[in-house]
Amino acid sequence: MSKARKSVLCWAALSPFLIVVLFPYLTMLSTALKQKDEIFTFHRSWLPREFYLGNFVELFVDRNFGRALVNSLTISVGATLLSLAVAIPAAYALTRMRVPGNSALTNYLLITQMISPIVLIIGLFRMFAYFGLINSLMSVIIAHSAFFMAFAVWMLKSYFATIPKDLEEAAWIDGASRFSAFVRIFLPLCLPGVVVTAIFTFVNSWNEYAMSLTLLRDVSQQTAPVQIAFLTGTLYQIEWHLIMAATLIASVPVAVVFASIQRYLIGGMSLGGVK
Amino acid sequence: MSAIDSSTPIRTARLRRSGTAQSNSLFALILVAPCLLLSVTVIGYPIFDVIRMSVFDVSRIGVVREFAGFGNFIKTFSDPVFVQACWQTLVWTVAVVGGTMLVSIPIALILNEEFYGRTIARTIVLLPWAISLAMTAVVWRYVVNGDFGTLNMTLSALGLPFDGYPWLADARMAFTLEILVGILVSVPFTVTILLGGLTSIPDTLYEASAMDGARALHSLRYITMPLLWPFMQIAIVLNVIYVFNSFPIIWIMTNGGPSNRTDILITYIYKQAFAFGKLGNAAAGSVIMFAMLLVFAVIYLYLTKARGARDDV
Amino acid sequence: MAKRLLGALIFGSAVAMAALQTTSTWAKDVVRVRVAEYSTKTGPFFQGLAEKFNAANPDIEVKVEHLPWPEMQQQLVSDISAGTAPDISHMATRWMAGFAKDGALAPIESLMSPGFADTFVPTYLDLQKQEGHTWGLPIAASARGMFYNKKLLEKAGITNPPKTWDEAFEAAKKIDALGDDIYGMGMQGKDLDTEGYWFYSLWTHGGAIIGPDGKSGFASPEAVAATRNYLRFIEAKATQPGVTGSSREDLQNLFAAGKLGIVLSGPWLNAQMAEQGKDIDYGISQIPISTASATYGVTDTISILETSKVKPQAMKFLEYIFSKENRLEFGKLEGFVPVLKSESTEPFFTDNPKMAVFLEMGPVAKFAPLFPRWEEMADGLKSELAKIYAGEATPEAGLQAAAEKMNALLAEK
Repeated sequence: MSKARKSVLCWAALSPFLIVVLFPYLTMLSTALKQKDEIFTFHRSWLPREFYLGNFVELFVDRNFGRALVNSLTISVGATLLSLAVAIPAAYALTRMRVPGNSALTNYLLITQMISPIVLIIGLFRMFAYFGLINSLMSVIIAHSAFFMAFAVWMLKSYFATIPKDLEEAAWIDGASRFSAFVRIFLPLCLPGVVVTAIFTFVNSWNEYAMSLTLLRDVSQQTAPVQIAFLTGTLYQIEWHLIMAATLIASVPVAVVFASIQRYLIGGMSLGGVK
Repeated sequence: MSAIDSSTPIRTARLRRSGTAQSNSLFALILVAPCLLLSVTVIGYPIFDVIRMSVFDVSRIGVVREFAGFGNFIKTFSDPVFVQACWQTLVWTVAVVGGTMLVSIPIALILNEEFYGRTIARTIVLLPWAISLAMTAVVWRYVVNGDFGTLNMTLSALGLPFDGYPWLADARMAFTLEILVGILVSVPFTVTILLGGLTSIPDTLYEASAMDGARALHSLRYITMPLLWPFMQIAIVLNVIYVFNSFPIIWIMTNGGPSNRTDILITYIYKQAFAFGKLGNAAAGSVIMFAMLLVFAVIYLYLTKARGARDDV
Repeated sequence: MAKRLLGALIFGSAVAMAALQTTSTWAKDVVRVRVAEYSTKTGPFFQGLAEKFNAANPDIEVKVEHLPWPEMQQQLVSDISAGTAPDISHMATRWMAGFAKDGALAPIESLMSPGFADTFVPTYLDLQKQEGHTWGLPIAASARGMFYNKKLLEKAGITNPPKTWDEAFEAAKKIDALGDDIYGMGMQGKDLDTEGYWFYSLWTHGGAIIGPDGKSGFASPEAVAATRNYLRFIEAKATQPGVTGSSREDLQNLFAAGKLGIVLSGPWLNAQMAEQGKDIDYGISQIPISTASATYGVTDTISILETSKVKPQAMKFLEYIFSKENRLEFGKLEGFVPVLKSESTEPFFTDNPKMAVFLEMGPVAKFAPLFPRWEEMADGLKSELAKIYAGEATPEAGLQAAAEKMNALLAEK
């Protein structure tokens, strides 16, 4: 079979799913370009009356959506760095050293994944309130790290396990310290795994809603998902034109990241094989 | 996550035997400590809080009153809506996770082939991941709106009789749609894991089988699937956990209605806590949910251990 | 690595400490006020009031937080349970009973200046009272009326807006017959206020939420008749399709698009029509009657929380909100009916045909009784109504189940 023919077949087989994926995006685009009074009309249409960009302007100028994006970015980067900072050493120790209670620890991490933050929200809020951390981006960074870290440890563990130990040992024999062997030999080798783990954490944090909603009360600290949800909550207007514009914008950074590192992402996953 | 890498112990054991890694376990503990500390403080206390509330009488504003023993659990189990939500949770989890696997495996197999535009196709498949669940649900609620939604607009433009069809009015249809949205958002993660697995299968295996003259389907059945199985296991376990706990899709699209017919445990608990002010019942429900997942994890561990003992050695 | 980690942790706690400090040092008496949004204008309106108030009262600093309605309960519950509640909070009056019962709210009768309570329309203030205490002030009040699309009525050959349910039924059938995309009567079956939509029929058929025996009135013959009244619209397909999938906002959108002949709604729909349904010519009249004239009167409450350490200052701000000019501005902005006696005579309300009908119906307004388990009762009722509307349960059986649930909740003390 020629590659061209195969390509047609592959695209044809994928097309039903791709259509379902793209359908909401087209809906978002179509609605985001409409004006307020065009959303609920007698004769509906995919095409907006004109190519209207006013919703995006309103979002950034009047609704301060830019600040929400910056807040989201701060939290996501912070949570990614913090969870990697604690997960890398832990995963290294769990794969390379004898940790007392190794299995109890890994079981514990699995258990923390099994509880939805939603059922813990009151306790979580009480605790952060006790420490006076409500309305601080730091509180969300800490909360996200704690919840997403278990997955990071698990992924890193499986990457680390695939890296031959001999290389590091050779470096030790050459007189390198354990730490410098770790930094010079080990980390570069598992970089793809670290990057993929970082992306997972970043995306999870970028999209997280319940904890950000509860822990951040000040409008100026809202994250993008919370601000978008707030557009749905007034008595008589669900501002669909703004919601769709905002959702589109919020998904762009993540989509771009996916597109650019996609090869890396999948290659990285293969390194982290479980076999 | 020991449940998942059930086969690594063998490898690690081998590494341990060969290496000098036994060095000081104190240092190892220091490396693990920050991770543990973060997790225990941030997640440990709320877990304790929920367990405590589940055995006390709690006012709607969270004041813990007298000890209630199993009172909250008994009240929860005797609520017919809770029992109904349990079954619906089972249907929801099995349908979403099962559907996700059925959709993801062929997609991953196709995306593993070399074809023109594969990078674009892969990116599109990952797209649902780029929007938070809550937003996906909001957008879908608009898409399926009977009179103004883009779904009916498109279907009726194609000549199908769906003008004004109310998708969310009938509980079964609403639940089906929610399950489909659930599948849609779970596919990217699952495909990523499966693709990772597929890329790790050495080509030499296929070449060997090609020399044997085995046909494509045959190699799929006897080479690809068995080698992909561990990855499918991870995907299933993680998806079960995520889907079981997944709140926004149902909450935003139907709020558990009509007539509680789309309520799952997490939406039930949320209503108990924040709409009805029954924090004790909600806490008991949370503990029950947690126990259910724990049972699932134990069964899974038991099954994989049993199989591991047979196959992996 | 460990060192770097330690550094990160120290840095983290330093940031945390800094955050702690900035939130705990106050120079003035700070009054935190939380309002729920009726529209996108609500937040800025209260923000504006706070700025003016702060300028006039240098020793007090009012800080306004605004939230959408769906998040209010969750945030209020977590806040009160963690001791971080605001000093003043907005809420639905039906939640107030529960919060008051559990000791979360401060009684305000002794905080009010002399004569302040007398400025209110007594009906609305009385709704905020329970067990001899006043637990809040009626920040918003609305009555419901019948919105009708004049053009559709005319096309269907109906000259006067229907006054009785029978007339409404005939009108709805005729309007519905005008076209595939046109529906006669809007019927709500999903989400917030579904029970309210049913109360319109209940009360106009002479029914009551709580019967004379102090028990649920949901299974009374009047309630069954009220439900049959709605069922006939559904069975004749004179409503929008998919009643059990239609929320209040869905109906309003249909009406704004000119697809719906008749809908029962509140004055806020005027505000939506002004933005999204500019081309629709509509009128508002009283809710159709069967045996009695009635409308659903609903208030929202603004309360001072028990944990507040600045109750007198908080009360001062509340009295500022409830000055005549501020209330009038609010009423014009959001389209609610007046709660102050002085407001009621303003031409904005009396001479405006889109507002006057809500005032006219004031005397026949019925209110939901205050009881702590309201939300749970309403949820049970909603669930049964959905079954009845979907044809899965008879009115008798469904209402009986809702009544039993309510009686169990009433017995819970």
